[in-house]
Amino acid sequence: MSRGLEVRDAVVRYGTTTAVDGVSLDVAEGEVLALLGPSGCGKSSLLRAVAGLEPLADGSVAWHGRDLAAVPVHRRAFGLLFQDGQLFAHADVASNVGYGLRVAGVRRTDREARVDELLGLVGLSGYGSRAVTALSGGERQRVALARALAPRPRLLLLDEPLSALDRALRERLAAELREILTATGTTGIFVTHDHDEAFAVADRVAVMDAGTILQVAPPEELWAAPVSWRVADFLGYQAVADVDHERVAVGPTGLETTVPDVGRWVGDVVRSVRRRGRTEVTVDVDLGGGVGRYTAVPGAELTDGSDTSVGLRLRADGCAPLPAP
Amino acid sequence: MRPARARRSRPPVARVVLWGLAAGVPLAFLAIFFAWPVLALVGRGFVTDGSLDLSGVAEVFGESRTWRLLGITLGQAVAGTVASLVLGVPGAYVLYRCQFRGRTFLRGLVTVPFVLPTVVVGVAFRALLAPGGPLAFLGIDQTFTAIVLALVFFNYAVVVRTVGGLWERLDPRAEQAARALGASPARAFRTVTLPALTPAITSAASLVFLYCATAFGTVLVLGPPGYGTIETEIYVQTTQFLDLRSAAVLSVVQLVVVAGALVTADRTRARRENALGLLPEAHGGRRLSLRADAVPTAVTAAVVILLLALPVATLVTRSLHAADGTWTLDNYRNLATTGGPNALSVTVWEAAGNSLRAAALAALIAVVVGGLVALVVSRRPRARVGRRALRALDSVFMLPLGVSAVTVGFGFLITLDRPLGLDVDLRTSGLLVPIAQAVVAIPLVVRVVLPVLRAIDPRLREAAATLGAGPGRVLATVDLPVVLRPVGLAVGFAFATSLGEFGATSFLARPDTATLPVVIFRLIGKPGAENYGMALAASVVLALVTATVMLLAERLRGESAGEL
Amino acid sequence: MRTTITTRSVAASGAVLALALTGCASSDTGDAEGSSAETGSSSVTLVTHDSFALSDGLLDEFTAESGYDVELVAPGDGGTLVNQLILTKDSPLGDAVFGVDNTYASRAVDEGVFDPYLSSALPESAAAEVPAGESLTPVDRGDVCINADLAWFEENDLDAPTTLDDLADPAYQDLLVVTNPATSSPGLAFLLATVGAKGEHGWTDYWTALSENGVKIADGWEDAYYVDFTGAGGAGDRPLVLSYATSPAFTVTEDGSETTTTALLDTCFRQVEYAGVLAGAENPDGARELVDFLVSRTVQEDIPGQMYMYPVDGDAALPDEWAQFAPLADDPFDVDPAEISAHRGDWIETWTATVLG
Repeated sequence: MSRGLEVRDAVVRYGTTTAVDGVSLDVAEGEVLALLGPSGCGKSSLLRAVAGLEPLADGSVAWHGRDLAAVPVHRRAFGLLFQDGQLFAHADVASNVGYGLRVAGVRRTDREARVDELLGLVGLSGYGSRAVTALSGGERQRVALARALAPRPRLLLLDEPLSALDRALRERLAAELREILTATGTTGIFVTHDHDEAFAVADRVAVMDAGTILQVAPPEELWAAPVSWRVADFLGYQAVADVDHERVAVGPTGLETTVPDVGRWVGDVVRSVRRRGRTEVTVDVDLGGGVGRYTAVPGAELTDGSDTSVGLRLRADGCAPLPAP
Repeated sequence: MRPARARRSRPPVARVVLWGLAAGVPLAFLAIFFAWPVLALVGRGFVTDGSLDLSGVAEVFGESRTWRLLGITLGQAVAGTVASLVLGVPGAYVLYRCQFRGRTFLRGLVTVPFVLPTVVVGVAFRALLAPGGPLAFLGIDQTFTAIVLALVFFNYAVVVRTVGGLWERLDPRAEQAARALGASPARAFRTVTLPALTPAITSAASLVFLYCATAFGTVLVLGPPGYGTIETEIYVQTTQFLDLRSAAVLSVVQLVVVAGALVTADRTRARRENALGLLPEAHGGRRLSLRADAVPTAVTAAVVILLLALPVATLVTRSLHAADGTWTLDNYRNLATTGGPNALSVTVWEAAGNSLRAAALAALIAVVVGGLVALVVSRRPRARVGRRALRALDSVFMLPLGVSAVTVGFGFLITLDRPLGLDVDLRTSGLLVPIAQAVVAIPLVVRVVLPVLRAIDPRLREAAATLGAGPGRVLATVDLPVVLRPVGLAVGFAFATSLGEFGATSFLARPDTATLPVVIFRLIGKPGAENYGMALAASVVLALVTATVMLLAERLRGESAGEL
Repeated sequence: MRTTITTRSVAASGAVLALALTGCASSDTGDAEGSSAETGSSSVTLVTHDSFALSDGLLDEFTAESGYDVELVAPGDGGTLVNQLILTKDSPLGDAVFGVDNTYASRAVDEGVFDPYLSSALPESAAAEVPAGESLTPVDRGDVCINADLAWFEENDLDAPTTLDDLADPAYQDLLVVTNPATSSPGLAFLLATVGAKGEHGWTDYWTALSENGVKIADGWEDAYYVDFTGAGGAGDRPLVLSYATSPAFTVTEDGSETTTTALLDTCFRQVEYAGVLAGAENPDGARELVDFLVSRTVQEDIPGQMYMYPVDGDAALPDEWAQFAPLADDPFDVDPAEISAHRGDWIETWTATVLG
């Protein structure tokens, strides 16, 4: 018998549209899985189906081998964290965090201790009596996280919890989230459309598109061996290059400039900018599928940035082989 | 082990039963105390000697008078509704979105006309407009204009409160965003605020339309001689001509008009059923600025002073005058008597007591039943047929406002002698008065509570559910706190309507349990300065009680911060 | 009586709120028997209009004499009352009825609403008011007449009119306000007065003349009397109003020496109110006793002060100011009740077409 979540052939329909089309997925206890995909790919629907908020048109969701079809949302003990928190605006921070505990009938003293513990965990010690309307966006999400974690859910479902925040905050919170989930040993499904976020938070990443799962793998493995260009595309690979009739996915740092006669390809420099302390060169080049505009890392040979025509070659650690289509 | 496959998840039986009950109890109530009586009475009009007889239909529709009445009814209802909205929306803005001294008082004041007895108001209005009156120069005595103005007088509060209640909780940032994008205040209002207010405006409009279409006392007193609507014609046909057949046909026509109005309102509402960006608590609004808010302020001041305060003030002053024109409190002292001589079988104070008791019970019934209806209707079932059913349920509970009190009152008489086969003659029971009042108060409760329930983001309930709260707990901790304030308001409205309800009550109240509007009607139906003075004084008392109730309801909004 | 009501309300609320409670609901007869076991009496229910009133204690006298408690049901007045009786004839609202008048009585009689009963207690002096068929007992009467504001006529140096024809005289142009017979029962009574006076074929011409003389129409009595009439303390502009013969008794000056208005006794229609026993009554004996009681001298003398009507008993004492300021017409106009019943609708329609156009 498996431990953890088991989704089999799940189908979710809204009227005539099929949002989730036969997805199977396992999440082991203690593991954090990211569901990565573009908006509208069905990842949120899948999450809602796991939570019990959408009925399955077909297939099943089980926990520790027990089918959950007959278990209503509130008995699943699955926490859920929305993009915009959905805090109870008529209650203060502590009441929000303590909500699930109160529902579970936890004694007042235990409840208060747990609320304090969680507020500490999310970095909001002493915020208990504040009105949630007075919080910033990041603080709201921390409260929402604390609220979701407080009743120790068997599984925490996170529906793009960071996407409403600004970039710096998002990156910081993603790291914190990872720490918190690991520290609390929480099993989680983390829905996102941002691969950096997915890699920062998850043990494994499931790439989803058009209602189906394309690939599930740990971040490094996924990065190293995407099963298709579609997957590679989501992960941030910028191009497919044809190398001796082998298809290679070119990552953001997979292309390097060199002198024209050394490179496998020759391209035109569009511009050269410094980003995050590194120089990025934008080039127009035909990698085998027609001329496209890509980013390249400046190679040692190219120094002053005044060249207009450059040679380009692949960097092994920035590329991944693709199976034949 | 693979879990059992493909069992489609169904809502558990208990939940289906509970929701069934939540919808079933109000439906049963409506069926017994509205649908059955009305259908039974209308049915009698179509049955002659035990067989179906539709000859009345052809007869009634063959008369040009019927079509004229229909035209007048629609014209009156549309004019009354449009005027109430045009004047009421600025009022909602000033009273619910701006801060100024005396705002709470003013909010209570505008509600007073809503429950004043129509006959007394009609007489007070005419005293202003008739030859010799202070406003005789307007030349609108016994005209359509006078009727429309009186309809605005009664219905202004419905618009102001329904629209204002939503407006004060609209997130002002959407409008601010539009202003920042270069929209003029008028454009920002038209493109951002007005669409957001549409649910409340539609709600108010459908209510006001029904009130205007079925106005009775006002129309008789203020209209030109012989002016009639379907409502007055049903009364005339039933009580003067004793012609149940024509009355039945007209009742059906009335139902069709009302149903048409409700369907239109429903269509409009359905087009914007989206959750709104609502604030959890009313924000105080910003200070009233006489320059920036010049137009709404001027409109509101004009309406409040000329249309609301003047007739009420006339009523109050006249109640403080003796027949010979001297100031006196005699009219109020006389409220402890049964009128001169013995116009009544109870004193006015006793009648006030009866009114309060009946209204309290009616408000209780209305809030329970109406609250259930609002709750059920606010759900968003997955299936389209479910959504349709809920919208129909919503409209069905509005029907009592659009059906003549004569039809309902007479219907009670022929159906409630043995309701459900029980050996209880409800017709002569004192309980029927609050029930009849509740029937007309329920739509108000629904209209006040429903928009707020609908505006709750469903994900908030989902968040609570994933935290382990069962459906009941979700209702108690998510819906209830948000809805407490409108429920307080709904109680106030239900109580106030019940206090002022005259139509059905006049058929049902026993002499010893006569309510305030009933004794006022009796007093003004008797000659003698003493009785007239008492009728005015009693109306002022009714107005004061109502204003107090509404003010209390505002205070009772529920202290919901902190604990859930 | 109080226990009766309480038991009923409790039973009723049970029925309403639980919608399924059958055990504790008790029948009307059960109530009656129950209370008779307690108090040694049973009850009789009187269906009446909302103006019904008797002095305190009078009904207790009846209870003491007859052993019956009286319960009152007052579902409306005039046409409303009659129509309700007709609608509920298969399951009557009570045992006895009071307040059906001669403009509606035939209709109700034709519908079989009553068990014919003419009280033997009715005094001789009331014989003239007994309806044809003797199925009802007359209890009180009153005249609907044009009232004049005497002060106004004095101020304007004009003699008050006296007859119906005077009202159409250009000397009295724009001075009269009457009510719409379709919406007001005094309005219907006055229409009947003109039918009685001018005949079935002449009355429309009379109304045409009234219209040409500027008669004003109000839909309700309170409207006409309190707004348009000059004599009721308002700011009206019409010194002639349709009202009752008793109305002048309410405009007596403070010192009680005179009244500021008067009824024109040659313009009146006589209304007679009847009492009767409802067909299908649960307590027909009690109902008959109650009808007898209503024509007893005690009640007859109580009626003027309580219900603004004259007793049918010509020998019953009247309040002083009535004899002085509000006498009945000697020779009011009348129309056969059967005729009224047959033509009411036509006449109102013809009136509407003639006067309102």
